[in-house]
Amino acid sequence: MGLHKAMFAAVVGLGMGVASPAFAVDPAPHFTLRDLDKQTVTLSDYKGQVVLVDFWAYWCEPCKQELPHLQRMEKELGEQGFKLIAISTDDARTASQVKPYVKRSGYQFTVVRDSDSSVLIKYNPTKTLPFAVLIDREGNIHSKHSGFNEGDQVKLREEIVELLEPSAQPEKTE
Amino acid sequence: MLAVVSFIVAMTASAQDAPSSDESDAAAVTTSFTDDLDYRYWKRTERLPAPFANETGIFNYVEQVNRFTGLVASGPWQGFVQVDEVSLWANRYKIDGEVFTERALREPDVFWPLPGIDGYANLEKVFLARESKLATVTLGDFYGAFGNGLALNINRNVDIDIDTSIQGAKVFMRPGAWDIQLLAGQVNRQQVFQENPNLGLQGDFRHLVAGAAVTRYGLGPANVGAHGVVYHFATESGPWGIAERSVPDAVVAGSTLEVSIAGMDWIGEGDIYSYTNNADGGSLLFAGEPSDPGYAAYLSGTAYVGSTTWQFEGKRYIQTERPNALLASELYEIAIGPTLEYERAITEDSSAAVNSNNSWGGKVRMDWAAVPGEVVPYVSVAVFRDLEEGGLHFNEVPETIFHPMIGIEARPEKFSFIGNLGMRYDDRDGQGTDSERGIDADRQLHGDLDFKFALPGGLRADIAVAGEWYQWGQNPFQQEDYVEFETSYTVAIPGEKVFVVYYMDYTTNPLVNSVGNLDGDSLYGAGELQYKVSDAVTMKGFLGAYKAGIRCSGGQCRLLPGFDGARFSMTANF
Repeated sequence: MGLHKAMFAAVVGLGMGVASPAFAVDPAPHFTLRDLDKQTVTLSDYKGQVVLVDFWAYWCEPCKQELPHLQRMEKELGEQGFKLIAISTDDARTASQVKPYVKRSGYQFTVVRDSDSSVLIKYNPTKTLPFAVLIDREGNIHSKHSGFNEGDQVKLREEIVELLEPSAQPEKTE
Repeated sequence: MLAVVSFIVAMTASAQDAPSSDESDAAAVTTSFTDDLDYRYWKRTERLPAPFANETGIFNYVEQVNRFTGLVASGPWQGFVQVDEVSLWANRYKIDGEVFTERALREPDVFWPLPGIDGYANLEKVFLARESKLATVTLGDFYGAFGNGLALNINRNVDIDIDTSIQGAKVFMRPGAWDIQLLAGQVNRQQVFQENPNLGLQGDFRHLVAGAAVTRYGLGPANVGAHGVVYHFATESGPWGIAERSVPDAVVAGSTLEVSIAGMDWIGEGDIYSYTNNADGGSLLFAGEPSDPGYAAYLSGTAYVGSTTWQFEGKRYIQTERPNALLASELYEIAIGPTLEYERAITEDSSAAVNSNNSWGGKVRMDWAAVPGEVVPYVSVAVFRDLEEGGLHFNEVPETIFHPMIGIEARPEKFSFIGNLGMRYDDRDGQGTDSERGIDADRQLHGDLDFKFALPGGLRADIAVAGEWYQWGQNPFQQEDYVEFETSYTVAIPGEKVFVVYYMDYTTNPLVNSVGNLDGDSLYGAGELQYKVSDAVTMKGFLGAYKAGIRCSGGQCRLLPGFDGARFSMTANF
């Protein structure tokens, strides 16, 4: 017991050291997935934009409550350089449900499928859903957001606006 | 473990120079860690025999579980480790000076260098990957899925504690309009449970899997694919479990087609399953009986008509569950296709139909965007024939399953409401007074809802309810009819840092192996306090009990035990 506690403490300490102000960059891990039209979507192609990578699933109720808010944000802030990439973590079994759900909901943001969990395990190994990772224009992770409750979208929008151009839009209430 | 830590240190040390310019992507290092720490105090109902029967609490114990994950990424390279750890406390009692151990944490085939300590740590997952636009190469642990999952479907499933990966090598290439996957390795099952009691931890059965899949996108309106998987199962844990047999146990080959025509989206898959027999003429996957070939056909079509969406699904599966035949004791499945079932209402009986080796059926669902983006009700009807008999099935004759449902998703500005209601009717052939057994149909009425709304004073509330009424027909395992429900009531304090949750479960199902703490029988109650210390750290305290029951995730269902006691957990993501 004592040995593995010490090892854990060492790794935690290592991580804390790495995260110290003296080493502030935290590049988002690369990934390439295909969207619902089977076009490849590569994260690095959006360098220069503020990107929100959002993990969701067809069967996840809080995810369904969050997505309309994210759609509104992309519509409002897209021209300023905000990009939403919604990663469906539905496995191969429910693949046929994802596209109909997105289409009938009228969602127009980019939806990609991670049917073999290859990206999920790098960003969100605890598989908390929904789970959002905000990435700045340099491709570095700015913040992570676990779960969703009404009102979370207000704080998230504030963070996105802060990362966009300094002359941000006036604060909009929902 | 030391080597992994050294790798992390080395990667970090090599990146200490702050990246300056265009080389930043190559020089900068990302480190990401998660830690899930859980302490559970289990209250047990077991008692010692007389004269110690009045000694309550002797078999209560504390279980400490921890899962640590670490990711280090630099440019195209990514390294990942996951370490699972468990320890038991207060797992002893003394009678007349002699110490007794209440429960064994590990089976003898599980290596642990400190036999006197009720603990276990396992480097559960590790991989090294190189990621680029054109290809991803992974050495170590990975997940794999082909088509709609009928041939191979292994994903990260931490929801019901059966996370299983493949340990070997995987290449995923994406040249232009092609996806090409090659993978091979041994199955690596999660050993330390994060939610369920850890008792008798077993070693891994090193089943071998190898497969390939090719998909061509954009052949006109169609995407076409082909895949093949070879399985070779181990019959005992350890590295030599498959040594006795030199031929694979199962080969699955199939093709997929996706096409959009005249506004409709179609997805189809067909697979052929070939199983080998041993020298004695029997198949490992057929319980020693001669094997039969299998096939699977799945089709889904979706039409968008005005404000409505119509989805049609059909399936025909014969001997498609055989690759999972030996995995029941290991609590996971390796090939899981679309079931067309509503999995929040799965019961012991319906899970047998879902896992049938001879079934066909279809489902039609219509969603209507009554208020686009805000109010979308739906109606669906599913009909299945389950032709498999005996074994774990609760029917000795074929049955017809009829399952209509209605539901709604409503998200106007002030609140959010999601609800579903359905009636499942399992009608066995030979029903009526003419049959010798008087076989009748099982009936299940089920419903669930999730309602989020604002309260005065800036508070926010969430009510979640799921319930069912179940009436058994005549069947060989004659069980009692039952009613059960699960509820949770959550209030979020303004600022969204503190959440107070109350849980209440009720069940009269005699198959549920747990006892209610509120009435000593059917009624369970518990409270939970969640404190979001920051975006990175959440702490939870739980006190009370919840019932046992079936939970499903990713097409796999498990009968999970109940819990009575206290829990403290802390999740960190940094």
